[in-house]
Amino acid sequence: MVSKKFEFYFLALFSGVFVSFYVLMDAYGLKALVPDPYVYSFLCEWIGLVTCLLYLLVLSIPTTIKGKKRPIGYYLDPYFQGLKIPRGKSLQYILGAGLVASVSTITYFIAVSFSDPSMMLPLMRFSTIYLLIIDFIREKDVPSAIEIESILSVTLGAFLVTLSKGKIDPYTIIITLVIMNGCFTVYTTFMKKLQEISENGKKNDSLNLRFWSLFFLTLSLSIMLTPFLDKTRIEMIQKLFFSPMIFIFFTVNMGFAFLSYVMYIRALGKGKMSIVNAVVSINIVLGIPLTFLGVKLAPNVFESISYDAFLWIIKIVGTIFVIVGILALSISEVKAYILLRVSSKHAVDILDKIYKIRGVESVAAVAGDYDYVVKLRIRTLGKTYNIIVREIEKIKGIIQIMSLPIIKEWEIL
Amino acid sequence: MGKIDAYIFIEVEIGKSEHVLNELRKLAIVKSVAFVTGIFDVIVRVSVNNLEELYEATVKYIHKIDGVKRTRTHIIEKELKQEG
Repeated sequence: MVSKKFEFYFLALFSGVFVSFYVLMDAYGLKALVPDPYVYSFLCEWIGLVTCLLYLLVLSIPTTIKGKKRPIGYYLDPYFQGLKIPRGKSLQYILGAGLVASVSTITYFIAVSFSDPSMMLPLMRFSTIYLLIIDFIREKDVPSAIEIESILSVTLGAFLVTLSKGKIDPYTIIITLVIMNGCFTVYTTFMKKLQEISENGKKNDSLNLRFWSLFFLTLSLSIMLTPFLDKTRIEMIQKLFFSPMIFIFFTVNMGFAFLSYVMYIRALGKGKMSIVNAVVSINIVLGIPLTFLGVKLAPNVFESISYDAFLWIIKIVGTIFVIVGILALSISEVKAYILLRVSSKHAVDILDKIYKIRGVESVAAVAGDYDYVVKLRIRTLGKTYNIIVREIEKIKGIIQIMSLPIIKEWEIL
Repeated sequence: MGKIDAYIFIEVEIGKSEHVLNELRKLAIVKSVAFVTGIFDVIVRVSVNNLEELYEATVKYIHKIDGVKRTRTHIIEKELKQEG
């Protein structure tokens, strides 16, 4: 038996691990294979889209899991039921997510062309703080002190780790902080929203969400890249697209990206956006040993690392901040059972009302001594009090509330 | 036919909690075991195919665990749950 909490942190952490893999591959590819960023992104997105479709088709192959017929993709996301075309509200959000992602990608390339990209990476980390604010607005709830502390610790830690001695100009700061972080925040919010809405009673699965958002991202990015594609670049794309070496490189590269996004989207469905993002920041820490590995494997591509001692101290301090923050987030969680008795007159519709209260993980109408069993999952015990006193007591008909904080729990996934 | 889920609230004798917990975790129908503070000590969630199976599990197994003082079974009639 493992806990659900474990699943959430597992998804977010491994999403971060896969990010560090494809970031390293990107660094290699941009230096050794396709030095032109425009050509690189064009190839990366299109080959990525093709391979993503291939992955999805393979994952759609039906197999028998626990006696039921299910596609292989069930292992990656239990909601996956094969490739499906998004409709209605889902389509709007996926389209939106694809568009903002393409804006952020193109902005990145434009910014890289006139400024020092080494300063953009640390500033990108601040989107977690934007997400913290959006979580705060969405959940109509003041984040607990431990949440704010941990998320700030991770964000500032990640800022320190990625810091390097680059030139910094006000344009880069504005572009990174406003456009790129803004786009990323909107993308994450849309993905979170997509996890909550369902079409015809069917929930959106992360595999389809990844594919269709990539589909719209690729389309809109290609349109925006068109003015930059001159004759030499087009020739380069034509030549490289059908090169097997390049194709294999991007298949692996986008395979990591695929896994990372699927896990990221699934984690978003299970917890707060700011926390998922903070945990994914582990890739910053992993980036350091991976870069060393890169230097070892391809010394002619990666410049040998020669930071001075001062910068190393800053990086180590940043790493400690990131790890401590993630640990603090994962340890501080309180669950409780609340048992309710209601007077028979008011027994209607209470189930729905209770379920809508923030922090309620499940509510069951039961037959026995009590009438309802509510399960809460919150950050601090003080919040339990808030939920019980402010929300549950407001509901008419409840005559007895019994709260049982959980000390330790085991669950089967 | 669908599965029947139920919560079983258990009062445990002092000093026997570790043993009760280990025994409960061996049961195949047990989906989660939570140690709580309050009027009960352990809340177990079970999932069975029929009421007969629930009866078997409570009377023939859980009641016989050394240290289980009293149980209260609550069968779930309807439930709203966050998936994940």
